[in-house]
This record gives sequence, C-alpha cells and structure tokens, in this order.
Amino acid sequence: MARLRQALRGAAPMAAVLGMAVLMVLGAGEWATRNELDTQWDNLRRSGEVQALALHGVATRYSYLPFTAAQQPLVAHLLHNPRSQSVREAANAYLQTVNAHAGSDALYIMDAEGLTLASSNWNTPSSFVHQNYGNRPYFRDALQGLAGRFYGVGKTTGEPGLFASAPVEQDGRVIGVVAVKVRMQPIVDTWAQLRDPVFVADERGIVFLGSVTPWLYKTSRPLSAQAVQQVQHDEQYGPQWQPEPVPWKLLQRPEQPGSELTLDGTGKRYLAFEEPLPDLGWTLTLTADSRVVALARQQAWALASLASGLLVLGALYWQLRERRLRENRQARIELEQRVHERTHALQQAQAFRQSMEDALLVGMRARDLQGRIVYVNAAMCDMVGYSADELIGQPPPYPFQHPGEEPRPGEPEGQGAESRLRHRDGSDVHTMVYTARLIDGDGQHVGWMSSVVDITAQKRAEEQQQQREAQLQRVQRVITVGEMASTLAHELNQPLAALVNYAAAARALAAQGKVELLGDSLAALSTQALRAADIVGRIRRWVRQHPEAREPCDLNAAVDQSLALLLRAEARRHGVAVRLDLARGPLSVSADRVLLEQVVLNLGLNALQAMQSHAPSPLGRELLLHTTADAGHASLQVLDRGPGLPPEIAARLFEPFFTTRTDGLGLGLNICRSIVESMGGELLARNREGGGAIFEIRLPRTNTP
Amino acid sequence: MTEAPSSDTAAAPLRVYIVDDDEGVRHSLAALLLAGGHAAHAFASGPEFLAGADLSQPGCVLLDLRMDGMSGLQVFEAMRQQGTVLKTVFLSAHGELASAVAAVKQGAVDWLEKPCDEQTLLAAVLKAASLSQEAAQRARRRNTLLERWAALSPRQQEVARLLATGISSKEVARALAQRDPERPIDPRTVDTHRSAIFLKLDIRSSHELGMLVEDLEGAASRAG
Repeated sequence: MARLRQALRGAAPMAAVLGMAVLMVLGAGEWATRNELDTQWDNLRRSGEVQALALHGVATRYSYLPFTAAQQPLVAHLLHNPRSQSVREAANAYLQTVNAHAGSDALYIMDAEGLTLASSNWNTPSSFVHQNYGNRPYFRDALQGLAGRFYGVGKTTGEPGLFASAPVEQDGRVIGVVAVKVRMQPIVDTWAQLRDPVFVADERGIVFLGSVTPWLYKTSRPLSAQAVQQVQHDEQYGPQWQPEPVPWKLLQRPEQPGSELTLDGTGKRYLAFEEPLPDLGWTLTLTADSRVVALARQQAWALASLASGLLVLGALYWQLRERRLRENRQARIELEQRVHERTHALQQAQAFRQSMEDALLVGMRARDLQGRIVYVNAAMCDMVGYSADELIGQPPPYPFQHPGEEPRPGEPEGQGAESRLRHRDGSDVHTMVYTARLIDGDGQHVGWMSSVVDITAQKRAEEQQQQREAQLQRVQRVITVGEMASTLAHELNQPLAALVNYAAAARALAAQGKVELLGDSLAALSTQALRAADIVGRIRRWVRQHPEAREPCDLNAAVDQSLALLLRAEARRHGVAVRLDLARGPLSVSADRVLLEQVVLNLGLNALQAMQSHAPSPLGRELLLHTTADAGHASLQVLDRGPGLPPEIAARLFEPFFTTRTDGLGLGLNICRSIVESMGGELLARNREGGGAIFEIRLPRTNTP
Repeated sequence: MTEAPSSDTAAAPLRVYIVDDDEGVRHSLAALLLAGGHAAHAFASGPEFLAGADLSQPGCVLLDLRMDGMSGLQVFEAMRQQGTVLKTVFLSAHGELASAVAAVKQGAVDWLEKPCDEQTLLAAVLKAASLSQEAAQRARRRNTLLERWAALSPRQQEVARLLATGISSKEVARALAQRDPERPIDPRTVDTHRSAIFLKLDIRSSHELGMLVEDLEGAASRAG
C-alpha cells in the first residue's frame, strides 16, 4: 500500500511533466500553424494587392486609347468613306503608328455594323481588317455610346486579350467604334515566377487568366444556361467553348481571411486569397501551398518535441537526483539513528555493567600478564579497604598481600584457591579466589581475571558452628534430664494410683469382713509402695552415676554457659532482665561441669517462674546472678523478685515431691541439692530483702596451679 | 429379645472394663471395683479390649490415656465407630490435661487424674453406667421399631409416612393418587391400612406415629 502510494507520488510529477510536454508540443504546433497562417495570409494579401494593382494597371492602361483615337478626324473620315483605299491606308498607318507608340496589341476601327475598316495589324496575317466583331460586347457597349471593356479570346487571332472600346461619335450619333486589344500574357508570365497558382476569374467565375494553363476557361462555380449562351454568343472564350468545372474546390474558411483550395485527384491544398477588382468585375485569386503551414507545424512540433524531450529528460534527471539525494539523506539519517542507537545501547550496557559490578558482592580483579592490577570492582575495594585508584597499576606485591601468604607465581585455572588477604585496617580477610584467563576482544590472552569471594564470615560461621554443636551436645544432656523427670512423673504416678486403689479396696474389704481378699490387697499395696520407692531410688542412682566426671571448673563459666544454653532465652521470653555480678577471675571448683550447669539452670528457671506467677515487684523483674568467693568456698547466688519463701514452704523446700506448682513434680530442688551435695557443697535458700528469694550454691574452692 | 425389667438393672452387677497397660493400676482398680460389688474386666491394651469386650451391652470403661501401642484416644475413637453403648471414663497421668479435655469433648463421661480417690472414681463409674443403660435402652427401642417397621408392607410404609405428617385419610388418598395416578386409592382403604399400621407398630395415635417415623428416619440417616 505504502509502496503504491510512493510509486504514485513518484509518478504524479512525472505524469504532470509528460502532460505539460504534450501540451507544449501541441501548443507549439498550434502557435506555429497560426503564425505561419498569418504570415501566409499577410503575404497573400500583400501579393494580392500588388498583383491587383498590376492587373488593374494593365487593364486600364489603354482605356484612353480608343477614345483618343476616336477623336482623330481621320477616323470619322474613314467611317464616312469606307471604300476609299487611300483613306483606309492612311487610317491603317495611323493606327499602326499609334499602336506602336502606345505598346498595345492591336488598335482597330469598326463601322456601326461591327466590320473592321482599319487596323494597326492590317499588314499581318492575322489582320483584323474586314473582320466583323459585331457580336462582341465591347462593340455593343461602344455602340451605345459607352466605353466598352471585354476580356476574351480573339476571334481572329485566337489569342486572349483585353479589349477596350470607345464610340466614334458625330453629331450625337455613333458612327463607329475604335477598339484596342491588349494582351495580358506579360503579366501572366510574371505569375509563372510564383511558386503557387495565381488566377483571375471573371464575374461569372470563369477562370480566364492564370499561371496554370489547364484551369483556363473553366468555371469555378456553376453557370446558368443563359450565361453559358451569352458566353458562347460572345465567343468570349473561343467559338468552341463549353462550360467545364475547374479541377479543385474552394472552401471558405471561417475566421480566416481566405479560403482553402483543394485540388481534385492529388488532394493538394492551398491557401487561396481572393482580391476582387470591382471596376473590372474580376476576382484575382492568389494561393499559397498549405504544406508550408503543415511544415511549419511539423517543424514546431519537432522543435517542441525536442524541447519537451529535453524537459522530460531534465525532469527525469532532476527526479533521479532528488531521489538519490533523498536516499542519501535517508541513509544519513538511518546511519545517525543507528549510531545513536548503538551509542545508547553501549551506554545502557555500560550502565548495566557498572550496576552489576557495583552490586556484586564478589570482588573482581583483573591483572595483566606481568601481574599489574588493571581493574578492581567496588566489592574488591571494600574487601581490602583500598580505593580503586590506589590499587590499579600496582604490580605485585599488592598492598593487601597477607604477610603469611606467599605471592602465587602462576595462577591456577578453574578451581578456586583459598587465600588470606590483609585489610588496610590490619584484619585478616579470608577469601576464595577463582582465576580465569583474561581474553581480550582479539582473542589474545592478556592477563588474568579473578573473582574473590570473601569467606571470612563463612569461616567465622564455621567456627561458631563448631562451638554451637558443642553446646548442643550439652543441651541434649539437659533435655535428657528433663525427659527423665517427665517419665519419672508418669512412672511414679502409676504405683501411687495403685496404692490409693488398693487402700480403698482394702478398706471396703475390711468393712465387708472379707479377710482373705483384704490380705491380698494389702500385699499388692506393699508391692506398689516398694515400686514407688524403687523409682525414687533410680533417680538417686542416676544422679550418683556421675561423680567420676568431677573436674576443676570455673563457677563463673558455668553461669555463662547456662545463660548461653537456655536461661537468657527463657528470661527474654518471660520479659525478665538478667543481671550478672560475677567475681573477678575464675572461681575454680571441683564439679561435674554439666551437672553444675544444670543446677544453675534449674535455679534460674525456678526464679523466672517465681517471678512469672508473682505480680511485678516495684523493684522490677530482674534475675541477678552473683558469684563471690571467700577463702575456702566459691558461691553463686540466684536472686529473684518473686513472692519469696513463706516459712511453711521454706521448711519443706527440699523435700522430694514437694511442689508449689500445679504441674511441678517436686523433684527439681531435691535433685539439685543432691547434686550440689555430691560435689561436697551445699544448696541454701532464704528470703531476699525487699522481696524475692535467694538460692545459693556454695562449693569448696580448689586451688588451681 | 426380651427387655429386662428395670428392677433387675439396679441389682445386676455393673459391668466395668478396665484398660490400662500398668499391671499395678489395672489390678488395683479391679480389686477396688470387685470390693464394691461390680463386675470388673481388665485388659492390658486397647486391641485386647476391643476384641474381648461386648460393646453392645451397657457398661463403663475406665480407659488409660497413655498406653504403649494404641493410645486411649484411639481406643475411644474405635469404640465410637463401632456404635458402642459403653460409656468411657478416662484415666490420665499428671500433665495430660489437654488430651483428657479433648476426650471429654468427644463424648467421654469424665476423666480422672491418677491417683484419684475412691469416691470420685466410683461416682464417675456409676454415672457412666447409668448413661450407658439409657443409651442401650434407646438402641433397643429403635431396634424394636425398626423390626416392626420392616414388618409393614411397602404400601403400608408409604401410607404411614404420609399419615405421620398429620394429614387426614382423605388427603393421604389424594396425595397417593397424585404421586402414582395408575394406583388410585380409596380413603376407606387408607383407613384400613391405618388400623393395620397402628396394630403392627403397637401405637395408638398419629402423633406417636409421627415421632416414630422421625426417629426411624433419623436412625436411617445416621446409618447412612
């Protein structure tokens, strides 16, 4: 569609140019035709005037001659004495002389009957003397007393000529006629010089004079029968004359001064200009070949076509040039656009790469083959604490080289290598370095590209993980103790329940007097009581299984450890702050480290629970762990701000199965005391001043070397 | 099946099942209940109990929550699925409050924490036994009705369902004719059916019939 439109857009001016060219050719032809026509018509008109004048001159030059001759008394004398030989001779001589002087063709005298009495050519073979011209119109006219004029073919000579006549009057009576004949041949001879036909027609339209002989005495328009008779009577154009049409047609052309003459047969055309000669009653017709006009038109067409061709060629050339210019311009625009797009894409890529590099947490470092640093990214700079400006261009050893690390002479490919770097602030940076060849755009190996992953945190995490695993093992042991307590609770409940049941059964049986069954029940009751005792014994045994694990350990460390294990997290969960007030230096005691930690943990948890169930003290909810040492003992006090220890509770505090809690087993403090005592220490409890309780572990100190 | 007279129920020994994996507890409970004059049956585990006990006879189950293998709650669920009339009292050890509460919500009569005193235990057992008796009676009654209902011809069942809605014999006849135009029925025939239905079902009023049909449909939907 667009293409079609484009083609149309291209074709339209072309079509316009072509159209214009055609119009120009046609216009030029038309203009040339008109111009040529005008010229031709002008020529014809001018020529017509000249020819008419000449014709007129010839026709009228001798009009006076008959009249003048008629005045000669000799003429009258002759007419009176036609028979006198001498008079005739005198008249002949006179006429001959006058005729010779005047230059006319023939001068002759006729009597009233038309008989020629004397003639200038009396002595020639074609003498008019004794010829009767009574039927000639010029004779008739003169006989009427008028000046006659007549063009016709001579009756005697057979030569055409113009006859002019004048009457010879005497006493108001016409006694004779003097006539002169003038040949028109000289003027016709001049016409022969003309290229195109010239002819003269009389008032009846009969061509009688002209450059084209075959046309002579032919009719250019139809004649009436009377006219034909008249002409034949007058023998104007010879005695054998018959009307015969000219071999051409005249067409009146509108808007033009003349007509168009078309020859029969050949179809040749002429411009025909008619110049009337009114006083002679003739019409002079001059022609010009139409071919001149056609030629002019053709020439104009040829010229115009040439010009148009040049114009069209010019237009084509111009169009081509325009198109090429447009294409060039388009190409330039496209090129610019491509350059712009390319630039933009490059900028984008650059920005993208920059962002990527900046976002990378992995350090990137490029070096040339000599080891000189040529590039570092932001992460690399952060990793070692030096700016890019400080690093780029540095040959080895680099400022971040770790003193303990040997600079690597060759670079390993592919596999990463662990490497320690020295941060600017002196700290060690553990890294994993992956190095690959740096290949430039030409595929040349120009250096090394390394990605440097900071694994310091990972290393640290690994260390911490190891520590945590160690802790976990300890927690496991604590949990085992807790689980054991729960299992014990269930186990212990069973014999207790059985005890109660047997007791009830025994009571019922006793009431019923069923002695035998009563005995069985009581026996079963004893069994269950022993079973309960056995379970309690197992606890003690379990506790006693560990004395071998006693070793010198730090009471402060045990506090720290139990806090780290669970206590701090629990305190946070209860919303209780933990405060430490630890003695300086290690407090070395001999104990099973794990059991000691569990006792601390147990006391701590008790304290937290005490505060949980109690309205917050005005002194705040705080767990205080306080270690002190005197000469022989190290002690840890666990201080809470709970409800404290009412006397009735304080008294039974360490009894087995005594508990103030609904879900308590009542074994915790008992076991704790057992553990502490097994280490040669003691567990004490008392109220704290200002509210709350104090539980204190006192253990004998060991002297560490 | 003959219905036991209500006076016999009180005299007959209460059937009590004890399910506990602890031998001491199991035996001591049995001893206690036997001393109280009840019929105690002890089982050491859930599967043993489900296999050996008659779940359709009224009675009480003392069910330990915490047992190896099948737990108390699982046993309870199995009993429910078998449509037992037995009522359950759970025995829980210390610290199993949540499980016990859940059990009661699911239809257990009560729960007792071990060790518990004699009076509490016996009261719970008696309460469960009496609830179980009621449930058994309801079940029996429903079974009797079902049997009687089954004795009705299909046409009689159809008529009975319509009569149960409380409409007259004439309306029943019209409704049946509408339902099945090829089998028109005369209101007098409906009356005949009605007498036969009342006789077979051993009832006296349309109201009773209504309750019965409702019961039956309830039972059917439960069974379905």
